[in-house]
Amino acid sequence: MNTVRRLLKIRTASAGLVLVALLALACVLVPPLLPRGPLQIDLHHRFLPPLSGIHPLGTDEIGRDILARLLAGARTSLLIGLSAMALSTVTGCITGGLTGFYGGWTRIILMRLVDAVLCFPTIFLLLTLASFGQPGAATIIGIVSLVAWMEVSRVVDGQIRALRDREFIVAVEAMGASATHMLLREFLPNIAGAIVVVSTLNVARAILMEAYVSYLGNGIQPPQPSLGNMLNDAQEYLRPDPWLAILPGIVIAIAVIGLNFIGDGLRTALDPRQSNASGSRR
Amino acid sequence: MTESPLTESPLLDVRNLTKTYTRRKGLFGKKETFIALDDVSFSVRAGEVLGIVGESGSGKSTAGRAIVNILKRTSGDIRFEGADPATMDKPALRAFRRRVQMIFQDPYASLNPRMTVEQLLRTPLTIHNLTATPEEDRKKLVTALDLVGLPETLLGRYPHEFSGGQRQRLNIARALMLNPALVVADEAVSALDVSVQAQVVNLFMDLRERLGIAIVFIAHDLPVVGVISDRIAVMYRGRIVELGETLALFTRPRHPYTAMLLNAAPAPDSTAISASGGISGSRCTSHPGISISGDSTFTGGTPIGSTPMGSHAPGNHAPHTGAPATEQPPEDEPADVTTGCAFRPRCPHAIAACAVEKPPVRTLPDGHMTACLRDDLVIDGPLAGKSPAPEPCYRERNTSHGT
Repeated sequence: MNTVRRLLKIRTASAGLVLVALLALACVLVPPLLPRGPLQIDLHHRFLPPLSGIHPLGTDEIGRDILARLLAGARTSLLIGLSAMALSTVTGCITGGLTGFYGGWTRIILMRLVDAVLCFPTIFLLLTLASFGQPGAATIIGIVSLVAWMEVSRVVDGQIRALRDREFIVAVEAMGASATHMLLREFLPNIAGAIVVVSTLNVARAILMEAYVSYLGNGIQPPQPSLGNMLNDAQEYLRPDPWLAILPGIVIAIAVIGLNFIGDGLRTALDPRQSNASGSRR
Repeated sequence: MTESPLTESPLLDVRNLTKTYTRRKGLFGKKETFIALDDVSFSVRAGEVLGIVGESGSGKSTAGRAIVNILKRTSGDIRFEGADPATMDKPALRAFRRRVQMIFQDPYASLNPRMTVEQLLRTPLTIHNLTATPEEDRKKLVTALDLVGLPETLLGRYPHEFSGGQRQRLNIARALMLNPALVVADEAVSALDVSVQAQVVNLFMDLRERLGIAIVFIAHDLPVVGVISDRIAVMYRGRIVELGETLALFTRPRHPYTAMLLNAAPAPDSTAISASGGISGSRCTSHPGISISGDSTFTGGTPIGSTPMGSHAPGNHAPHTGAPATEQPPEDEPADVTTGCAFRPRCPHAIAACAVEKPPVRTLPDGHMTACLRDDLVIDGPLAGKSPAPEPCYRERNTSHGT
């Protein structure tokens, strides 16, 4: 309750919430109202600029409605972002929980593995992994979470280690609590805030990564629209018809900036030192 | 009244408990060993209160944690109701965890900040699958709160809404949820204000009388421990240097360190004790070992029950109330005494033999135990000559209850 109120007091965070909410709503509500679907080709009306007739944002090189394609692409992106986030959060929580709780060799091995994976530049890792799988939404979700779970894992590990020797944890341990009980009932409520922050930022990152992979041709395959492959298609026509590239770019920016604002806002709102934060931050 | 662990099987029996920590200096450096507990033995009978006193670093908290088996001991034997928790199978260990509860020093840190009082008190029931119908559970919660003197209207509150004393009451209530036979209170009142300390100590005494719970009461403040304990173990540098009945210990301490502790704190009965109750012969007060350093905070000084202390203004006690002797060893003391008696550098009665041999624990004819080589010392404690029964009046002062 308190956290939500504090979050809404942060202007950038509220703006982020509004942006993401509008985008999500548009993806759900607008497509049924559009006269043309995202895959419908109309060779008589190619390269129409925005605001022309029944095509509010114009058409692409084979006359498909850009608004319909953008919304379909954004929906795919959001779904991939959320699924990848869910997968990486669960993986990260489990690994980080185990290493933080048990320590010892488990921790040494797992955390060094995390370090090793983090050494590779994300984009190369992403592309290498993508080249192994069948292109498609499921593959992207898989590989994006594969490169994103380490960060969650590190955060959870660190948070649990910080709490491990606190007296309230030792107290329930002395009372005979099982590891499951301690992790789920005692640790989780205390570290949920940190997890939410990383996860929100991870959604934004996953959307960007999907765009990279699709742009480079290993992601969502044409004719299915995605923000990434729309950018790819637009390269050829960048000079005569720049809106083909600008529009998907704007949608990516809206989603990523909005989510980042929310994540940063959550970080501030959940910080206990901000408990009596003044209303006019930022 | 005398200790008879052999004839009567004790609730808790600790034999030769040792805990060492090894640390490697640097990556390839020498291993360093720190002895936190050195051959510690004591026992607690059902319903008895055993006090453990000592300055910080004396190993008293380590002993407490070893008893509740959250600390792996290096060697030694701990038997609770005849069985060793370290070798128990799972069901037996669960039973042990139900029968033995621990209360921690910091009432602020020992309650999960994200849980309401109700959730906190339900936790022990959940852990041990003791939950019944919601109404019955609630009845148990209310009973526990009632025992510690908190109203049930607080069930929905969070820990941060309470004062230190109230939080410690909550901790006690949580421990009581499982009807323990033994409660280990590790510095349970040390973090509290002096007036609140008295209330919480009274609560412990009350619970012991009403529920017959045995208590291991660990603190650095000898007067506080004296109020509540049947017997007191005095620890110094990981060893028990003296163990005996409270009255006997206050009347005639057998170890110079105990005498020093008794002298460093104002006496329970204030009439002229701090002025004269020294060790006959060379008085502790004249020894540099307890010279009073600057930080005379409330750490260990004033006795609980800050009730009128006779005609003495607090100022009269000032040189004795600061508790450096109970909390921090003086600076001029050598950090490590590896041979002989560890207390030797601070002891006014040290003789040549003290440097040679680690003094073994001797059991005197009256059951009193001491680890001092000198059997010729006659030391008067603050209660010397105050007989027949100074202890009851000492307790009387603390019977008023409050919240």
